[in-house]
Formats: sequence, structure tokens, C-alpha cells
Amino acid sequence: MTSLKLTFDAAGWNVDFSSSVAGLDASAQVALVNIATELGSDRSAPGAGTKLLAQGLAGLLSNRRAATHAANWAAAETLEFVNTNSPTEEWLQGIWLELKDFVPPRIELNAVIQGASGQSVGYPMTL
Amino acid sequence: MTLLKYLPTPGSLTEAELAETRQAMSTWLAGYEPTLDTRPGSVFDGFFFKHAVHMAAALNRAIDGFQADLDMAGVAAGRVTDCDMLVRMLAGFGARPADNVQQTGYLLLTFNTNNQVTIPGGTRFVFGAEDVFVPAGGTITLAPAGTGVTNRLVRLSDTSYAFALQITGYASKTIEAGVTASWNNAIEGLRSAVAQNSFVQGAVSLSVPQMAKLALQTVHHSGFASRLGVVRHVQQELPDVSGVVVTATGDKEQLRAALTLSGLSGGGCVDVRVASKYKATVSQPVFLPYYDAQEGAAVDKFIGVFDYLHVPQRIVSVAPLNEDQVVLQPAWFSLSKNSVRAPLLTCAFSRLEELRLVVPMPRNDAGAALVSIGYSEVEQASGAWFVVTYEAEPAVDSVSALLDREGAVGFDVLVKAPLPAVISSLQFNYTAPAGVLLNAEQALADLSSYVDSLFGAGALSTEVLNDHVFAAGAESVKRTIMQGAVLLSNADYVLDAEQPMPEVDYAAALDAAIRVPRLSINGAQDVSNLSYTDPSLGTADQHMATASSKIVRVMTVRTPVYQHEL
Repeated sequence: MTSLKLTFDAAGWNVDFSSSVAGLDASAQVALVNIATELGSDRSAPGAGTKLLAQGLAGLLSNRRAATHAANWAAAETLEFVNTNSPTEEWLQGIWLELKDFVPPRIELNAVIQGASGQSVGYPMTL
Repeated sequence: MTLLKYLPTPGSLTEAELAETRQAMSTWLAGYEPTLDTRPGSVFDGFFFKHAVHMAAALNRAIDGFQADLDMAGVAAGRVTDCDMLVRMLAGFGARPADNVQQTGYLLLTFNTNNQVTIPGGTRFVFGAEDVFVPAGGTITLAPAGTGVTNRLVRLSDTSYAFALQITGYASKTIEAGVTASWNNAIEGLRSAVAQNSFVQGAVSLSVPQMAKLALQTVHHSGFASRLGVVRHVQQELPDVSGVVVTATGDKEQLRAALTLSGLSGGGCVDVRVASKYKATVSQPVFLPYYDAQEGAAVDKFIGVFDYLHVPQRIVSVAPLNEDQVVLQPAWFSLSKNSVRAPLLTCAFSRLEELRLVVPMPRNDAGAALVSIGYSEVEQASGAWFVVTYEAEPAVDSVSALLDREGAVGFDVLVKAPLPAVISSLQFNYTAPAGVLLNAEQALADLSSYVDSLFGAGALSTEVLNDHVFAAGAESVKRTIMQGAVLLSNADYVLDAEQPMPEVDYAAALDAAIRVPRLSINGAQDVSNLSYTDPSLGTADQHMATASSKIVRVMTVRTPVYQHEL
């Protein structure tokens, strides 16, 4: 599936209207957006999003262990959601969110997304 | 904006609706752009698609609502989205809301001449200063009395002639019986116009679901292709008709299609029995010539044809006009005006039934006549005036006029009043708790309302009768005693058309006449299970009457007795 490319930086994200992504990159993009989307915010896709952002805002990520657990859970939910909404040939094999830095109220994650062919892509995320 | 009438509020869209719409739109879009990423979280989804899904779901709901408005059955059940559109559409089916409540009733017009007269359709009959009514059937031409035409004057005295005209209009109040109206046109000979009965409300203000129900009935049952079609058509055009029952060739109640003695068959016959909401008791004068003797034999009777204003449902009494204390022994004779269409008693309670009244001269013990005989210049005969009081069924004439205008071609349709099941005695033996008084007035009102609603709708039930007594305060009803009779005709005898008429040779006419039986009622089941056919059918003694619970109208003639048992 083809989509416009999103670029992420310290300021946030941008749409690169001159570039497109497809295949693993497109699915990875969808996965990254899903991790940072609040669960239930899209009534047309009730399963979209995770609780990670809401948990952080609610102060539930009080230590590294809690943050790691929440991140793992968000990764698992995102993997299931993306694969449910993707054609088989664009399924992801795994999503990992490694806690890189825990500086409340900010956490830094390394997102590693592996496609069905075994190829992986990595993205730094700051929430 | 029309669309906004159908669009739901965004918050009312359910998650299930939105998810279904997203799936449908994704699939649809994939047929156009198979590689476009429409997944939740994609750029296309974030910027456009998920919002478009909301709009598509709302439009889908709007289309559902529009389609639902086209489903008359749903609208009749109360599912309405756009009232304005529905009102316009239903008007095309003839279902319209009424801005006001329309009344219909009968006006007794009295003339001092016996000439043909035309009443223009735009003639305004005004009650009070502002309540205006017009003839219900438009312009009407009345023939002189005695001409045998349906719309004709009836003689009330040597100088007075009458006609009962159905009128319709809007009024600020209910028009009561006896109220006089003024009129705007110069109508020759017209001297007075008096309401003959309390007018009945006609069209009622209809809600959109009620109009849809009416349209459904009209579309499916309009016209005369079926029994129900006739019923619906009559009730829609004449709201003052409360009950309509149709019997056709092949029904046990329909003997007009049977072979007559002459071998002629009236195939394709339909009887339409109608009952109106009116309770009109009419006292109509009639002049009866006196016959002292015929062919040398003493007769000593008043004999004549009763030219009734309305088809009589039940004759209450006959009394001399000027000597109302004198008790008479009247006898009624029936004769069909058209023995091919409606032989013998198949004409009963229709306009084809000619009723002859025979009143023996009442005499005192000394043999002196108790009724004065006078000479009528109009009749060119000696006789006396009598007053016939009867309960009328005016719907027969109005429905006949409707069917003459709009009825099915090729059918012999005859409009009749129902057969009266006259309950002459009704008693409830009841118990009540100590200190509880039966509200007899309420019980009577409920009973009257129930009985009036039965024709064409249901069978008489003792249980329902008793329920009214319970509702009025009784603890139990121990016994219900009912007596009465079903009348197969208002007449006592059916004349043989081949024999001389009573006014020519009373003895011969009576000898050849057939006695009309009365069917006894000793309980509600005698009415609800009624099934009668002339046992002499096909013989020289036949009268061709038939009766069933379907074509009977229950009438109570006396106030019921509520007997308290301890």
C-alpha cells in the first residue's frame, strides 16, 4: 500500500508531499502513528491507538519498569491492530519498543519494526 | 437545506455504523485505487479518510430515512423523517389532513309545492350567523312526490312536501336536531330547512402516520374489486358511515343471485349494508285512504303506500295524526319494486322495498269510529292522516348515490340497511359490595356505545355486556336475561306481486301474502351465532329472507334493568 511519507524530528512530524512510502515503510509508518494515537479517539476504528500516551499523561508511568511494561503492551496492541487492517503481504512480524531514556515527563523509545521478510527498520520516538 | 432534514447529528452515529462504513468505503475505494493506504494511522486516513467515513455514515443514515419515508407501512407505524415531503406525497393518494373538523347531517327541507325543484350545489345553508353547509352530493334535482324516482319529494300533508338533504360543512359547534337554517339561493317552494338529527363529525384531523395508513388502505383496497375495497371506499368518501358489510354472489346471505320462480337469475349481485353514526328518529305523516268495502265485502281499513323519507331501520309506532291517544293495530306489507333485481324479501331494508300500511279502523265498544275521515284534494280520496315514527337509516341513500356515481360497472349493487336485532328486554342481575352503588348511567352509556359499534366490526358478546356492568361497580353478574327478535323486514307480510294489491282486494292480497317470520332472541348467542335461510326457498311459499350475524345490527329499545341481588 502506498502513502505519503511522514518525517519525524524533534519538533514533531511533517508530511513530505514529494515522497511516498510503500510496503514495510508504509506499514511501519502506520504502526508509529498508532502507538502515539490515543485509544478510542477514532470512533470509526475503535481499536486504533494505544493507552501509552494516556498513561503517561495520567502519571502512571512512574518508573522505568512501568514505562517498559506499558511500552511493550503498546507494541503488542499495535502489531495486532496493524496486521488486522493490512493485507497479508504487508503484515508485520514484530514491533519492539525499547526504552532508551526515562526522564519524566518525557520518555524516549527506540521503535524497531520487522516486516514479514525479516527486514527491520528503526525509529526513535519521544513521548 | 433538504439534506439537513435527513442528516443525523454527528454524535448519534454509532461505532458499529462508522466501522461498517469504513470497511465499505475502504473496499469501494480499493476498487478504484488498490494501492492507496487507507488504514487507520495512514496519512490519507488522518487527513481525509476518517472524516469522510463520518460523512458517508451520516449520508447513509439520511438515505435510509428517505427510503423509510417511502415505505407507507413504516410511516403508518409512526416512523416519519420529513413530514412536509410526506404530506405532499400522501396528498397524491388522496389522504389529506383536515384543517378543521367537518360535520355532515341531514336537513329536512319543507316545500309548499309539489313541483320539480333543483337545489344548486353551491347553495349555502347557514346555521346561526357563520356555520355554512352545502349539499353533500352537489346539485340535486327533486322530482314531485309520487313519481317513484329516488330523489323525490315526500308528501307530509295536502300543502306540505319534504325531502331530507344531506349537507356537509364546517361549524364552530355541533349542530343539534331541530335547529333551523337559512339559505342563500331562491329555491322555489322552499319554506323551511331544519336539522333532522344532531350532525356527525366527519373528517378528523389526521397525523402523518394516520394519513399513511389511509393511503395504504386506499392503494390496496380502493375501488370495487373486492369486498374490502367497497368497504374502504365507502368509509373514506362518507365518514358518517360507521359500518359497511358487503355480501356478494355465492355468500349465504346473498339470495338475489338465486334463481327466482320465473327462472331469471340476477347473477353478479352485491349487497352493501350500511349503518351510520346517526340516531335519527323520524315522525313522518302519511295519508291513508279509507276503504269501507271492496267487491261487496266489508273492509273498514285505511290502506296506503308509505313513502318514507329515509329507509326505516325499525318502525316504532303508528298513531293517528290528530287522535294520538287512539291505539291502532297496524299491519305492514312488503312488495319489491323490482322483482327481477330483488324478489320478495331480498329487497328488505332497501329503497326497492315498498311498504304498505294497513290500519283497521279503531272503534269503541259501541262500534263508533275513533279516527275521523276527511277528504284529500291531492289524493282525491277520503281517508286520514297518520304519523309513522321510525328509526331511520339515512346512509342507505347517501351510499346509493355514491355507488351510482362511482360504482363498478357490470354489477348489480343494492344498498341496504342492516337487519335489526331488536333487544326489547335486557336485564342484568348483579351483586355489589356493601355500600357500593352501581353507576347505571355509566353502564348504559358504555353498553350503548358498545352496541352501536358492533355492525361490521364484531359479534354480540354476553361477556362484554357484563364487563360494562362490572366497570360500573358490580362485583359479579349472576344472570343476563335478554329477549328480542331479529326482523327480516319491517313488514309483517310479503305480498304476491301476481295478486291484487290490498287497496284493490285486501282479502285476496292477505290470503296470498306470506307471513314474515321473526327470529327470536333469548341470548347473545342467538345473535352472534345467527344463521338463517328461508326453509321454503324454491317453493311457492318462499319469502327469500336470509340472516346471519354478519348482516345484523343490534338495537336496544328499552333501558336495561339492573337488578341488585343480595
